[in-house]
Amino acid sequence: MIKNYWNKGKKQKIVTIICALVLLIALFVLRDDYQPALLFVRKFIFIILLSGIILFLGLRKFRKSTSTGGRLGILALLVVFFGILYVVGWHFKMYDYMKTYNVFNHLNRVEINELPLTQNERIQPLRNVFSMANESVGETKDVSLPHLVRIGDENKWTMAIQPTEKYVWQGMTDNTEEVFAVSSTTPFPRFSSENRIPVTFSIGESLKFSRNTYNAVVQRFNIFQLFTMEPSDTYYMKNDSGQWVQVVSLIKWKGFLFPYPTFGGVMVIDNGEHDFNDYMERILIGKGTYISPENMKNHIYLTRQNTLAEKVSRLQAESLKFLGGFSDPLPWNMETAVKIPEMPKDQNQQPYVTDFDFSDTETGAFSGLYHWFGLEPVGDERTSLSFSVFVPADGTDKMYYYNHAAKKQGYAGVSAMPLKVKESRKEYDWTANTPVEFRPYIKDIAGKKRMFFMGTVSSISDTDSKQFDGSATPDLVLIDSEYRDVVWIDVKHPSQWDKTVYDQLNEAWRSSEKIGYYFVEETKEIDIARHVIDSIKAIPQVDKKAEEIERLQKQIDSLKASKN
Amino acid sequence: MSKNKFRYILIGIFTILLILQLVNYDFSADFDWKSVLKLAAPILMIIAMVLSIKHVKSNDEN
Repeated sequence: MIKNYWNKGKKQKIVTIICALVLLIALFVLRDDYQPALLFVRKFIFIILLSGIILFLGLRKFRKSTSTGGRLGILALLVVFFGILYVVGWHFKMYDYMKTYNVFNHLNRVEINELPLTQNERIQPLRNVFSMANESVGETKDVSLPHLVRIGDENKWTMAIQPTEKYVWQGMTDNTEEVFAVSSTTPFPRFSSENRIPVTFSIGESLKFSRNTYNAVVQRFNIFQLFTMEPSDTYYMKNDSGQWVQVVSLIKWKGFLFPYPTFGGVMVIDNGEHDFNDYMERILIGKGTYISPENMKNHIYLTRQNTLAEKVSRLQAESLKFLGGFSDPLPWNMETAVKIPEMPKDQNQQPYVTDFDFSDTETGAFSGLYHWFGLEPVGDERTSLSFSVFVPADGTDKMYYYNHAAKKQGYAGVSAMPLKVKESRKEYDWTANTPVEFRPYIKDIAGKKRMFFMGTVSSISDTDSKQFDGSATPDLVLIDSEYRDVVWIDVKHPSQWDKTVYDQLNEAWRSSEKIGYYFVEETKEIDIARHVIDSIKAIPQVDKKAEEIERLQKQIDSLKASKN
Repeated sequence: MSKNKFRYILIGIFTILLILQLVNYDFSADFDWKSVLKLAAPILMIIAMVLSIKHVKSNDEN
């Protein structure tokens, strides 16, 4: 058709060339819009090829067949084939099963026999931080989802204050002007003064067109990356020179038969206002500096950091169900099959980003941020803790897991915790309040490492299930996963938590484990009325005779020494 | 051309439908057969129309 049109004359040729050029430019400039389609083809390449080939061969056979019965037979065969493909692959979820098995086979698994300790415990759950941040911004601003990241030696919740998505015009014209960076360990998070940092990003998650983070990152991809990479979560952190940057976690799809997602490095977007040159760069080749997983060790701020997409770590943790073999998670086996427990309402789901100290274990793992999962058996009524999974949050190609089930520890899992907390304080209005986000708290108390879950009591709005209202100093609980006892702790005094736990549980531990006393009860008196003593103006009595005697004694001693 | 006029019109209609489905499709979601059928149906109809036009041209029959 185009050839006929081309041969008609000069005018038609010019029109054809102009149309082709416009199409080419559109294909180049709009690749951020159709990239999801390219990625879709990559993700399901095997199924698409298989279906395409079967359909092509079937239809060819159908057309060549002369008899009506033959044609009906071919149609029936095609229907049966696609029916089986759908039922086995999707209805019974065998496609996901194979994908997870692929993840399991390519995972660098390390079993650890000693739990790491937790450090720098975060007090607020993610949803509380998000609610409090939203309380601190105006009508035309949005807050991006908080992420726990390492800033220097401190863990902070960081999020951007960006133009709201409600008003399109601001999304096209305004920049992200501020970033929240709130310490995760303080009982009193503030969203003002030094925690509200003025920094300009011309590219943001809520901004429109080429200024959108997703679009800018996709435009930066090369031709191969367009087919294999997928931008994921966006983090805000300081780089090695102290400048705030946006770090976009990338997911890379690997494999042919059943492609699976892996960590694909990060794209780093610098701060600063954009001029016309930047605008052209954004439109044509996007913005950002790609750092591959292999090169991340060359950037100190990206090591021991939280940059791994949760989608990837969830699949990695879930793949541990294959520890008992390929067929073990099938419905008639299920001996070691595990699941990631889903928490009710709109709580932040696992993984919980937690700071672990591996220094006293022999694993060689770094101490810092990890994605932690507490896996439980697949049945809804089974809530024991089967595995603790530690996925390095900086994308290091390793996954550490501790097998509680094999050690027959009988610990209770995360899903068992909410009811224990409710049971421990019956006077609470549990219809309005919910204990949420049970993250691990592992401490060396009374002679051994003990595993607790730390939960925070949040009020969840009746009208908006995403609205979590936690006060700045929420109620905190620690639950001993072995003894199942709930200890209510004072959020304002983290240094006393271990002591509080010991006070409540020491008798149970001592009678059960035959251990001695720890936390010896001695009171050290500090600052008791010392100023009163100091304020008494007493003149010390001087014994002049004693001074004279001492002087003479020294003379005698020196004379005796000279004779010798 | 006159014999195949309606087939060309149908190709045009199904192409527009396919473009609309491509724009609306949620590619970030997982593979969903029911949604894929929305893409497959206009593609198969376009293929059927093209084959039909070829057949008419080669056999000179309608």
